[in-house]
Amino acid sequence: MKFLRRILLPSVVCFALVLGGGCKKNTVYTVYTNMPDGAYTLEDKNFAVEKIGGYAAESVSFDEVDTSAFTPRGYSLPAMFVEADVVVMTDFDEDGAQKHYNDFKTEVNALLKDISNSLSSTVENSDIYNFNNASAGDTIEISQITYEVLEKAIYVYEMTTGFYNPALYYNINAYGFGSTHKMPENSSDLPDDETVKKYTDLATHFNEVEIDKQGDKYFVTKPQYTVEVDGETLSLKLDLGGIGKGYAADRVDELYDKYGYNYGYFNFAASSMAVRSNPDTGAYNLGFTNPRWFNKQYFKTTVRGEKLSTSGDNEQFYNLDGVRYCHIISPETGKPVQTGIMSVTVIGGGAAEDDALTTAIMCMGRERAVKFIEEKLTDRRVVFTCE
Amino acid sequence: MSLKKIEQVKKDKGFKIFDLIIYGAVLVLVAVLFIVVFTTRDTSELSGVKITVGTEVVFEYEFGGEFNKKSDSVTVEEDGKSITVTVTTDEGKNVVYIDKDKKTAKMLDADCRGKQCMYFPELDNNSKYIYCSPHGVKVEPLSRDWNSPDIII
Repeated sequence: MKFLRRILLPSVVCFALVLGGGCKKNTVYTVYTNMPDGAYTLEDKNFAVEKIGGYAAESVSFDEVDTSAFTPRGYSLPAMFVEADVVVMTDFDEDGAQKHYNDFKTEVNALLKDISNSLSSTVENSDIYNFNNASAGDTIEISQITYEVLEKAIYVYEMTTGFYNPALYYNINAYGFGSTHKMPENSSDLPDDETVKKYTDLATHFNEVEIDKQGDKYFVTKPQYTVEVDGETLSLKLDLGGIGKGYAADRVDELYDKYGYNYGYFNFAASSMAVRSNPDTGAYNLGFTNPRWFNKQYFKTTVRGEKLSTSGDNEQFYNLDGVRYCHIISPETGKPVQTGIMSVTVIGGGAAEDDALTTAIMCMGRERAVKFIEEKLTDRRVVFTCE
Repeated sequence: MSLKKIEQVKKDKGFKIFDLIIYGAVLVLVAVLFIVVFTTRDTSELSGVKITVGTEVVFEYEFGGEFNKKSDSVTVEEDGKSITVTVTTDEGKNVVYIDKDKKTAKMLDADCRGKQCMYFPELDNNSKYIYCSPHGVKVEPLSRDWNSPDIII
């Protein structure tokens, strides 16, 4: 009995205090969002919400349809080195429904292949491959796809005052996130500051990329500017990985319209999506995965009839000497971003623009990001999470 | 401690009401946690495992059936209880362990830098995938629930 009262009881009390202390520990991460109260739920007590002002989009109503006979069809297909999910929900017992769906699939597959073959920097004779291998000042003919993506890239570059910059090609590769270099295995493999500075200087000339449309032909002209690195003359090169999946989501969304599919979604590797309605719940539940704890969700909202994109420093990264290097390059430093922002999601508007915007916000850092969202993204829901 | 105090302690009851309240509260807390954890879990079983390298499916296995090795980059060792799949790419090697009884899969070993993939939880129906980013190797459930109203980013 004495043991119970003098050893066990104090132990239990101490354990309870420690447990209680753990529950009250300080919040580790901050979620910034312009979403109104009630539009989201916080699922993890280690996260706290900081509100951003300015959101002023009007709510959209949807026609109620009898969906009781609807069933899902879905498939995954490889595109742009990742996987895309295509889900359609409709009444597949209706006459011709299966053929209609097969035609839709054929068109989606062909579209994604075209986009991949136009925008890839590694596929020989793709538009971007040809652009990257052209000499400074050269003009080359490109597809309508590449023209449209470059048009949006230039728009977001200007809108974000260069925080989205698809011309950081050499920096991305130098840090091992492209096709030309392996990921560094120790700090000595990292590029030196002088080289990074030259690559970054070259990228600042993205605003000199000129696109032109003549009838049904499309052209792009490469800037004259070059830099010298290790005795080699380098001209500007592009990596459209930060906008291509979003563009694909926009285009597939158009195919959902064309085929009259209002239920289902297109999910391009969780990076960009076009979300329609769900027959059972109306909206889809969008769960945000903790960037530092795989498979744990910390934030939830709903989406319906919207497109969205996400970027994060947990998609591709490595650690060297305690420093995290991710695939998103800051146009200010020319190095992997270390702004403290772990992930960004933009919902609403076009997925291509959202895709580029999420990259830009990652690079801004929290104060400039908050100001930018309040001033420029009043029609979109934005969530970004900081360490 | 005085002799009087010692005598007093000896005469005291083994448990006072406050002691019992604390013990009761701890037991209730444990019971509540147990119920919450085990009743909110998706207990449906994983139907099978698919392994991809980049966009290429290199291995598929449906529990209770035969495995399907779809690439020379894969070597498979099978016994009554488990399947061990070794995926070798230009980037390195990953070893995936599939437990036939528990119907789970996990990344047993990898020679990638950081070995982040080995810290993913075991693949069951509550988890989405295990991903080795440096090697582009992904382990995921074989079948997908296209009807789910949940999308994870």
